[in-house]
Amino acid sequence: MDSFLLALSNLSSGWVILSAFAGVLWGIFGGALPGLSPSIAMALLLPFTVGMEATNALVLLASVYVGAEYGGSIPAILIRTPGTNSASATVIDGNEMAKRGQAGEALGISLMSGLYGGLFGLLVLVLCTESLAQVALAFTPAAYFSLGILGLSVIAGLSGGSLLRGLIAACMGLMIAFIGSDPVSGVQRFTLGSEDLLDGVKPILVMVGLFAVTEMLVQIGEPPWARGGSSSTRLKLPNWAMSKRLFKPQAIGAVIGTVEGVTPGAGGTVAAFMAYTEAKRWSKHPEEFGKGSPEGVAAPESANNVVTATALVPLLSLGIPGSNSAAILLGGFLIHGLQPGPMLFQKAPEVVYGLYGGLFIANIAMLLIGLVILSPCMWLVNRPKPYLIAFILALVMSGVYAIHQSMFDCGLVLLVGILGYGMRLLKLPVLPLVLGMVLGYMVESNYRRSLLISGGDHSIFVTDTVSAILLGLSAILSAYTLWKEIAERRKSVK
Amino acid sequence: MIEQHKDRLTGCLGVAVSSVYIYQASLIEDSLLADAVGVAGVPTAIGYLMLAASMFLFLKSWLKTKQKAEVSEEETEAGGSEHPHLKALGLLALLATFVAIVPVLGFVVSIGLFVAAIAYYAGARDAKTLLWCALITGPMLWLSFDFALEIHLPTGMWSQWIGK
Repeated sequence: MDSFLLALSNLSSGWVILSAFAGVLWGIFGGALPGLSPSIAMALLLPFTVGMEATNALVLLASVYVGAEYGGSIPAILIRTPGTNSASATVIDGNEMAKRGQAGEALGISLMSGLYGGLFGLLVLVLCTESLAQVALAFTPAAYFSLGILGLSVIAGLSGGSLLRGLIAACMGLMIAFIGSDPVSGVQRFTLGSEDLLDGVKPILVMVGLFAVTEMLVQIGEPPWARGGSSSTRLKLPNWAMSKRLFKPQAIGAVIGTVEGVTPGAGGTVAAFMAYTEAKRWSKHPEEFGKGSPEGVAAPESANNVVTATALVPLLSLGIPGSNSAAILLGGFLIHGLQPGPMLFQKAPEVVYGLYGGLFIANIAMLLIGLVILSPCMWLVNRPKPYLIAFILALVMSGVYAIHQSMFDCGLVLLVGILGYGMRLLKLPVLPLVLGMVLGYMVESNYRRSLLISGGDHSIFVTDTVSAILLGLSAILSAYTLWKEIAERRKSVK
Repeated sequence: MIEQHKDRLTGCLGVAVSSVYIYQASLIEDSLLADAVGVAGVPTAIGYLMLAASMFLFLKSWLKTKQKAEVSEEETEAGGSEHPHLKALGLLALLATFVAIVPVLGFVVSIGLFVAAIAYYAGARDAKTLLWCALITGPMLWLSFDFALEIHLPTGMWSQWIGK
């Protein structure tokens, strides 16, 4: 109870409120810029937090994370360019809605789902940090491998009706993920002698190429904006009926986001994709997914915003930064002489609960700032097509260059754009490729680490309880999706 | 394009890509730190998986050709370019030119030229607006990246004057 009161007392602190608003605003800007990841947006602010009071500094950094995860959805919906990795699942239906003239509705759904997700995640963080930390501790390399397999099991649901094509696309994603240094021995693989590829191919480069560059290559040959309906620039928040419809996908996103968030290394991207496929599986209108379903926007947005809070669980309770963004936040703690871990709650409770209070304000700030900036954003993307294509490509190229300050990345994005164009021509689904690429490193490195631990004995994956549960779940999910697909095909033949 | 042709082409390309990948994987030298699976173990397995899936897709479409051929729905939209692939190729050429000229002309100048060229290529014809776009975009992005984010954009041949 004391912790709650301590957290609430921060809600009236002017500096905490200012830090939260400034952080969210910066985060939305960073998240909306393709190439500038949440962690980079946070890292850029890190030096400025040195002179700040610890609570304000940490609220500022955490708010950037909240803002950036939300900000990534804005270009994903409006211009088919995910600003962050985790926004790539939002592209699917969000951009389809925008193309139908429902950009205002899609942005409204994304904003409200992000808000609910963020607040739910915060509740989980406040109430269950200590108990959920045990979940993170139970994850062995074998369990991580199985978690990756569980992530890959959703490929069937992302294959757009052809499991074979989905499988081929997923293999392509895994192949891209294997480029660079080997995770166990450090040997170079598939780098073709290029030093630029030693570090592998960053997922954001592939996503920007596959979504943004490919879309522009397609749009250049199409008539002026093929947007259905009106080109309204008004943001529309979901009404009561829509809110009721969105409750289920948002709840699915919240649960998946919680599990993925507390698991170090899993992250918002996997959570968003899993939430998307599960929302489709449980939806009364699965046929609308991929064609502009509001539920297809709500689920991933809810999931990736839950992660912004639940990803702090292993950091605060165990001192384990589960993601790049959490690592930057860890840097923020260390700069102020604080060591996250079990003792943090005893040594500096005011900082922890101050952070909780700040995160609450950050979510409210996200709503208020979103309400103000979204209409101008929509106005911007309704400009004449030739200028918009030119501006989007300029933004993409600048953002991509900013990642490593390398023109090599710009060339790489063009190659991925060509790949995406070819995939579209051949009707190969791109989402399994994205998922394969995101999970490739996790699956391979943990598979090999597990075998190193077991001395090459594969039974480790079933004798480890968590791993066995996750593998069982993957098998059930894959079998169910396959069964459903076969049943639907038979139905259509009849 | 007929649906089966797409599947067959995908199958062929898949076989080609996976074969090259498996060959490349076989060239990877094992490390002294190698584990039971080996450096090339997982990539090789994925290569074979893709090879199998591609061959299966090819065979499936080949057997299907004997049945009724499905014709793909999507074709050029009314009002769009008659040669959308050529148009896309042209855009790619512009993008590649941009990547090539940045180290010479610097980012600000190149991006200005790039924006004007792409907008013109996409159909903009108002010279005044094109000029404004070219003049504004470069400094705007420079202010955002170089000044606000402290991410230094390449200066190209102007570096001797700017001193970076």
